[in-house]
Amino acid sequence: MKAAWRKHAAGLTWEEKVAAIERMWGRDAALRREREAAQAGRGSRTDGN
Amino acid sequence: MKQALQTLLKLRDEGLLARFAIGGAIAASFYVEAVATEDVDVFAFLTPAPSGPLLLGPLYERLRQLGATVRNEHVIIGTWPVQILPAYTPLVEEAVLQAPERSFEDIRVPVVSAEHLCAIALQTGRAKDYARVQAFVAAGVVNTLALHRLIVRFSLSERWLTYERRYS
Repeated sequence: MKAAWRKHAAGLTWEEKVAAIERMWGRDAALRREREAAQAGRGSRTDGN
Repeated sequence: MKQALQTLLKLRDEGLLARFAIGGAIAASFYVEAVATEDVDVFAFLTPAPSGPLLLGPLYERLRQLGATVRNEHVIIGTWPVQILPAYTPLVEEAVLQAPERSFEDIRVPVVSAEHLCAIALQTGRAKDYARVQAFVAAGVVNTLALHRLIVRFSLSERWLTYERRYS
């Protein structure tokens, strides 16, 4: 699986790799939002205790 | 990205950047797998003022005229934060001077060579820099003889030994 991915990644053009990096921004932002929402949720539960 | 590269080429044509080359993770992504990065590192020779000192003011002013916005140490061109770093060591100076031109879409832009990227990574010497060297070596994109010449010329033998201890 890892080897197959590496073979695929090695075949990408520079433009495709840069586009992949740009997609990582969206993924990272979504993860950050989820994490912040989870922390906010924990915070509000704590506040209620 | 294309907009950022076109803007840098325009600045060079206008003489505000004497020379530049793309470095860092974006340059690395030309040679090996892409890794996450939030900006484009640009190593540059800035054009000195007639009185001698380097002035970033005119460069930033022109960037604003071209639609860029300045945010802390970055210039945002299109969607990409760009960090313009003066070529700060003899190794980076050479990397800029010898950077081969690569195609991105339909434009040609100087990109630091694989060997110079590895040497700069060794010089920087953080864990992620050694990992970058390993990625280049594993991908077989480095001219080993050329890299070892850089290691000798720029006194990076100790760093190379550290790399070998970690990854061999």
